[in-house]
Amino acid sequence: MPFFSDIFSRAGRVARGQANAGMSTIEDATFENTVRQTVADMKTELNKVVQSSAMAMSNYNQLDSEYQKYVKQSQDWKDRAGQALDAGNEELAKKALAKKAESDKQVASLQNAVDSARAASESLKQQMIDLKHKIEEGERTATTLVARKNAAMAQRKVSEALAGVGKADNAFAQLSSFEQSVAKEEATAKAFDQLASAGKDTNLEAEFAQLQGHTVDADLAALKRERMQRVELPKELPPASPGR
Amino acid sequence: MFFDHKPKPTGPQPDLANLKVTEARVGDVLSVSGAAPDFSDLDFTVDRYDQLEAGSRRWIELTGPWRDHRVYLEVHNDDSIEVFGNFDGRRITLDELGLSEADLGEIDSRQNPADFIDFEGKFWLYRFSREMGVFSQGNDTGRGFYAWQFQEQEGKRFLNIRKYEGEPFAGAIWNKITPTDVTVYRST
Repeated sequence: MPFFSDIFSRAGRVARGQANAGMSTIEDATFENTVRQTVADMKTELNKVVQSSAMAMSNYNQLDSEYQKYVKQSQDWKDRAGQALDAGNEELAKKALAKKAESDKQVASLQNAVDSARAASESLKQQMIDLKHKIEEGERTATTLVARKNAAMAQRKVSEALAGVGKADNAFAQLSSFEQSVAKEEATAKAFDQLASAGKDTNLEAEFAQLQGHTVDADLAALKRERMQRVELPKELPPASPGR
Repeated sequence: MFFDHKPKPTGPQPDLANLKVTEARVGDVLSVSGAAPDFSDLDFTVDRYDQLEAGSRRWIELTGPWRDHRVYLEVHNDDSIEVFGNFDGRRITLDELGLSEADLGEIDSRQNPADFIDFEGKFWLYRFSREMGVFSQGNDTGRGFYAWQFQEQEGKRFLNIRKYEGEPFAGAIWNKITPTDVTVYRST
């Protein structure tokens, strides 16, 4: 059924979109912690390498001490054999050389173990140094990443505010919603005003206004008449008297 | 029920990669950069931790076997960290130093930093001499000894002479070590 198939496909796309948006929000909110945790995980790994290095080095030190002990013994027996020869005692010299041979055998048997322990120890030490450097670099990168992320988020908020596409908590969006609310109130008031004046007879009002205007004209005519009567009074003034 | 399972609370993990020499303890491996005779690293496992004191000053001495002898690190943690190492396993006698017990007694009574001795073609300037105590880890009672210290003229080496009761005088040469040249490896 192609219709249902289309519906499911679109629903799936919507769900994926929502899930991705949700994950992005979570990532944004926990970005710093996530980065720090990554570095902490690297440090845990480093601790393990340090412990392995310590064990390998300790093992090498122990083997090397043992090895050196037999090397010294061998040298001691050689010296004694020389002393015996100097004293003209060949039998004693032979016994000393036999002891030296025993020590040499031990030296030879330990040689491989010491060499491989040394190699393991050196290798782990080097790995630890490399990992330590990487983690130091990782820490620096993490700090930079967090700073860049914070700057980018701040930039995005500013841009959203400027573009007017901010979220509900955006101050600009709130101001805009206040403005809309005020405009709505004003429109409502105007509508009520119009409703209130809807029952009035405008012609009658005009007639009354005309009547009112007529009264004013009559008053004006009466005033004019009154002033005309004053003009008809004697025109000569009485003579002036001294001392006034 | 597995729903009730809660992860155990864990504290901050120790930073084993950045342990300081002042934090070293028995069982740790100390690696001193370039301190071996061929200038390779000198790595030894600490098998003894001693605390030393002289008057109000305290410091620690870490020691362990290396090759066919024992090596020592002296760590002072006062205003700054100071580290001295004795790696050659050499014990110098008074005869080798050309000194007698009476000479050391005289130097001690004078306590004069202008005093010096001549050893292996170098002048070694008197620094101090005093009684010291050493307390090994796990032991409540310490052991006393008398110590003299001389410093190589225009050098970084120190000649320390110790005298434990019932033991001969023993001299040893110590080198000043940069604390960051010592790396502490801990396995546990």
